[in-house]
Amino acid sequence: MHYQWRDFRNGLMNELNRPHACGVFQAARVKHPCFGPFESPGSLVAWMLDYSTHPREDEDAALRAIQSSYEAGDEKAFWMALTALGLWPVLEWVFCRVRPRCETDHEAASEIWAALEGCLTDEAFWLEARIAKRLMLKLWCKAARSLQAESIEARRLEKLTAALPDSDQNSPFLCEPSSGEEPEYDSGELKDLASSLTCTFRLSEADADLVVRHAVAGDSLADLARERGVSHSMLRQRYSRAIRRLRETLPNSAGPDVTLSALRELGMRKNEAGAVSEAPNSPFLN
Amino acid sequence: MPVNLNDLVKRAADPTEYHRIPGLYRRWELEQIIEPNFEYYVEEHGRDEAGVDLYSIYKRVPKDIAPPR
Repeated sequence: MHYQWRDFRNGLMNELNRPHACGVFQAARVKHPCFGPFESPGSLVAWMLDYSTHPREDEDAALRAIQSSYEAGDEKAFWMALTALGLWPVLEWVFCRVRPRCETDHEAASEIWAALEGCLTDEAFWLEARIAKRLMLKLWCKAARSLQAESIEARRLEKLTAALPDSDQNSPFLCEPSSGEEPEYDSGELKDLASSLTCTFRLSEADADLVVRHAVAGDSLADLARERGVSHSMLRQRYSRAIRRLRETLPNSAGPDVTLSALRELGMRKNEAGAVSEAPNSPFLN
Repeated sequence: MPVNLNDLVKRAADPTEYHRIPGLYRRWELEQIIEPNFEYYVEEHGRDEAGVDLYSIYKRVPKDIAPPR
């Protein structure tokens, strides 16, 4: 699924207008006196966006109350949406800087969302003054750093793919998600593909699902990491390993005689490969 | 539990999820709102200056008759 920046905003607005959202906010009003003057989440957002009506200290107090409600409650999506909409100019500023480094709005929004989630869980960050301004810079740095790590990984994968024979480059399993319109896959098709990866390439079910969701369905690694409750870098590493394993196991990637992966299956170390290839009578080549 | 952004955006575009009808309504105004073939959820939303209860109304397409995607 790929969406535009405006869809992201609509999604946030929808969170504030879901059933029970007002109830959640009313309960927080009792707990946090700084929410007192606001009848609804919408009026708090309007107040936060109108900088001329309040001093910065009041805004910081409201943001701290939002963060504390996020930490304490189950309605995390509601509080994150409230933070994002209340600081919408901050998000737009970060988006304008992050978007040129991404292929789609979806990717940029995912990075910003992941960065915001990271900031909301960092309690110490909210204790100091001028939260909005610091948040703006922190979101930008976090998102940019994550994109840089992804771009290094993409270049590494590109090099690996270029090193493979042509037939391998056409394999659907080795392609990175394209930036254009993605075809919609139903979950049955994706499950079938994942189970065929599990059977044919002996990937674990979790790894097969990861490869299919990212490379075929186009879900971003950041979203998948959040869904699985693991860190982005850990999931990226796992994805790279799964892709490497696919490359190594693909039948077409095997040369006429022997490959490193075949040697590895025989329990040999990489650095022994040269020695083996120089020994034509070696039993490993037969 | 992390918040999945995809779910959040999908939910906003899904007609089978409740979406709020803008505004607040009094009990006797509900008949102007209600249409057949939709499901509604009504939530109390305080009182007006005259002390009359106000309600927020949420509407959705029932899941079993949702149009195909």
